[in-house]
This record gives sequence, C-alpha cells and structure tokens, in this order.
Amino acid sequence: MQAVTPQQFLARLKEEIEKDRITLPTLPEVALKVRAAVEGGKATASQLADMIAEDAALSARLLQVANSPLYRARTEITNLQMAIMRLGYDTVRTLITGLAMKQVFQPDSALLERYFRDIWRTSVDVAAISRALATLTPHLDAEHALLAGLIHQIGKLPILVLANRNQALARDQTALDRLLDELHPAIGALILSHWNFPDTLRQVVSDYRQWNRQSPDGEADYVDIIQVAYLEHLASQGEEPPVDPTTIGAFSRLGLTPDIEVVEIEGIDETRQIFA
Amino acid sequence: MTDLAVAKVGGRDAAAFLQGQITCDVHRINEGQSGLGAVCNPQGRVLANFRILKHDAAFLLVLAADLAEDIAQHLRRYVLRADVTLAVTEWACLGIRGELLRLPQTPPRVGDEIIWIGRIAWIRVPDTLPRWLLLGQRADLEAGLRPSEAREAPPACWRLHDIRSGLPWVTAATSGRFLPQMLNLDLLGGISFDKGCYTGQEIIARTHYRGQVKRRLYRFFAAGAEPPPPGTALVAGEEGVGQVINSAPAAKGTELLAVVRCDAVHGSALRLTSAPQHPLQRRDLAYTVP
Repeated sequence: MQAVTPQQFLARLKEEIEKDRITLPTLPEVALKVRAAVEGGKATASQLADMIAEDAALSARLLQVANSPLYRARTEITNLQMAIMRLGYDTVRTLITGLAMKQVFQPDSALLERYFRDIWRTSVDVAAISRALATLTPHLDAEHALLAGLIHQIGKLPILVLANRNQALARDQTALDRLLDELHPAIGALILSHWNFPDTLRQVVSDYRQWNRQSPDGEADYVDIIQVAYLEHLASQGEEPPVDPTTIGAFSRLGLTPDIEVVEIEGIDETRQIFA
Repeated sequence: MTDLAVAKVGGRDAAAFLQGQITCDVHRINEGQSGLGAVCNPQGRVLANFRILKHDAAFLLVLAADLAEDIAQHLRRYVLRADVTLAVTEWACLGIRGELLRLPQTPPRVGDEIIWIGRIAWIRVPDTLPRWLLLGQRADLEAGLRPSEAREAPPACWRLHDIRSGLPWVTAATSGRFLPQMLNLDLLGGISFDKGCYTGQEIIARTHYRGQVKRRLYRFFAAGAEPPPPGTALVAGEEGVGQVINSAPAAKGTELLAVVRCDAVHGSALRLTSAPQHPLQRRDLAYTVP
C-alpha cells in the first residue's frame, strides 16, 4: 500500500469493521454489566456489589479509589456495598468503566505495545487534569470528565491494529502518525457509538481537536475540559501546542486563563496514580 | 421535614463532653464531614441516634423531633461544671433527591460530605442515587430553593429512602430499647470501637468483641398494609420476635425497618400485630447483615 490518504484509510478501516475482519475494542464484561444494571435502574446495591466482585482485581481497585484522598473517607471502606452507598450509582458506574478501560489498552502484539502504552499514559494524564478541572466547574461531573480523558484518544487503537497488518505503513512512522492524528476523532466516535456511550462523551472524542469550536449554549462543556487538559498535558511535557491557547474559547468558558498552572489543582497526582 | 429536629451542643468543652457521651468518634467529625452516632443510656441502649456535623465550633445533631427535647435534657445532666451549652434549635431540615438544578456551587458528591452553600448545609446522604439533607433556618431554606424547580413530597417519602438504605431513626416509642448494633449502627459506621470510654460503652464493646449481636435491623415489605407505628410488635406464630423502628407507605403496601431476632428472621413467617393478615416479606438492605 503506497501513499495512502487518510480518506482511503478511513474507508478501508470502515470496510474491515463492517466485514468483521477487524473488531472494535470491547469493554470488559464487568463494565458492561455494571453499566447495564445502573442504566436499567433496577439493581440493588448488593446486586451491583456481586457483579463487581466477579472481577477481583477491579473490586480491589474500586475500594482503593473509594478510600483514596479523592473521596475523603472518614472511616475505612472495607466492602463494595459500602463503597457503592458512599459514592452512589453514577460515580461507581463511571469509575468501574474507567478502571476497566486499562484492559482495552492491552495490545496483542509487541509492535503495538509502545504505541498503546504511550496513548494510555497521555490519556491518564489528560484524565487526571480533566477531573480536577471539572471539580472547579459546578455543572460538570468530575468522574464524567475523568472518563472523557481516558477515552479521548481511543480512536487510535483500531488504526494501529490495521496498520500493524500492513508492513509498509507500520514502518512509515510519518505516514502512520499523520493517520493517527487525523483519523482518531472519527474512529473514536464510532467506537463510542458502538459502546452506547452518552453523546457528551462521543462529542468529546469527535470534537476535541476543533480548537475554534463554540459550545452549544455558550457554557463550558466536557469538550472544553478535554481541550484545556490536553493543552496543559502538552505544556507539562514541554511539547509545542498545536494551537495558540490564547485564541481558543475553552479557557474563558471555564473561567480560566491559559497561563494558569492547572497542574497544581488538588487531586491530579492521586488520580494519576490510581489509573497508571 | 417535620419528623427531624436539630440540637446544638456548644461551648468550649463541647467536643470533650460529646466524646464521653456518644458512640462515634467526635474527632473524626469536621466542617466537611458528617457522621452517624447515638446517645446511649448506661445500659448501652440507644436513647436516640443522630447525624452529627460541626459548625462554628459547635456540633449539630440531627435527630428524631419527638426526642430532641428529652435528649437535650438527658445530656444536660452530664454537663456538671463543663463549659457546654445544649439546646434544640429552630433549624429545619429538608430532603432533596434527584438530579440537581444549577446551583452556585456543586453540592457534595460523596456520602457524608457537607458543603455550605450560603447559609444552608448540604449533606450528601450515603445512598445509591443522589440525595441531600439540608439544614438551615426555616426562612433561609424557603428562600434558598425555588419551589418551581422541585416537586414537593411528604416526609414519608424521604423516610422510605432512609428505610431502603437501612438507616433507622429511633423515636420516642423505641428509645432506650436497643443496643446500637441491633440498629446496625456498627454497619453504618456510627460506632467507634477504639475511641475510649463513653456512657454505655462497656456493654456495647463487650457485645461487639464477643460477637453476640442476636438481634439486628432488617427491612420488610407488607403488601396491602398500612404503615405500623414505631414500636409495633412483630410475631412468629404467637411469639414476639421483634419491633418496628420506622415505616413508610410504598407502592402497594408498606416498607419498614424492624429489629428482629436473627434466629427468627430466616424461614419463619413473620407478621405485624397491627396487621396480622398481611405476612411480611423480607427485602434486601443496602449492606450485608452478618
């Protein structure tokens, strides 16, 4: 395959997906069950606890989160039911999805491993900053922002899987990087539709690179959060921003100025540690 | 809500005084964290249980309205020469449940957490779906919330959610009868077993370390029945095995919390003496009863 354009690649990827020759990432079983149970609205706290308990590693990490300084536990939370009562259904659903997301970023080939690991690391960093930003914004939910950060580049995964089957492309770093950069928002939106994630998250994935966007009602939304968090992440890595931060609307909608040190907001390190 | 009242414990020695009178650890209560606890008699029986919070160097206890004066009076007997003031306040309680309207500040999102918005305390009640207990002067509560945005519900509706989360409220009819463990206050984080001595502690601690809690709080549903008053007896056959703590109307019947003998709760057909024609069906609590 020579000099493939992003459009050709996207068409090819969609075809592969339709023909089931390439599968979109799937959410781990527990996350699917918990999401369905909470959305169904019928499950009791103990039923939900039983579902989560089926995955011992995930259970342990949920308890670790519930006892972390992020949720200021007064007494130690020793079982899942206590954690569910303290955090509430919505937070538990989002946290379980977020905690399970790491498994989605486990590649099955050594070639992909470095890419997947780097994307995950970026995602965790952006997620941690997003969560902290959302805690400063009354009408936005902190865990929702966290999850948005964890998945904002998920569209890169199928691109890498397909590229991995194409030796020429796998070796052509420049071409591959360009495809990743240009196509991941569209592919990401495809994955989130496939997962039935809410529109607010799908919008984050598809729009976060549209730097000049306006939010629908002029108020800060999750896309704004991810844009600011992403730029802050780049700045903290010493990387050049793809856009001049002073020209985008996200900062002012969040009541921030581009030169503030977002990295100092409380809780960023704690979040990073939990998901790293 | 008319069935809850707010008592205030103030004065320089308030923390030390309360530490010697209540089951929870006062030092873990701060401006941002509330907790559950109980006032017991020397026999370890719960006179009243409460949610406690700290405000302006004083402590506020939210408890059953029909007990508030008695508890203030009871506690005054232990004050002696300490600098402690005790009074039932004019403050009112309001429960809010569901998705929230736009507020100047995010209300707390984690169980037990408190945020003051204006002059109103917002306490997140531990539950699977968001709900908050609001405390403040009646006028502030009325001014602070625009009725057009919320649908009003009777206090029994809030009580039903407390019942579903396994949270009991001891009232005049059930005061002085049960150890805090029988009300599941240990499972709700309302008893500290390492805080030191307080009135009733010896018996409560002994029961805990010997693992001899023989009665516990359970949730039941009685199809077609009217809510029985607190204190109503539960029977298995002819034998009395428990007592109703709280009840509230639910769809097609009544839901209730009752302290019942653990050996009688499984298997046997339980009935209310107030409505013997409606057998009780046990329902899950939000936590596991050992």
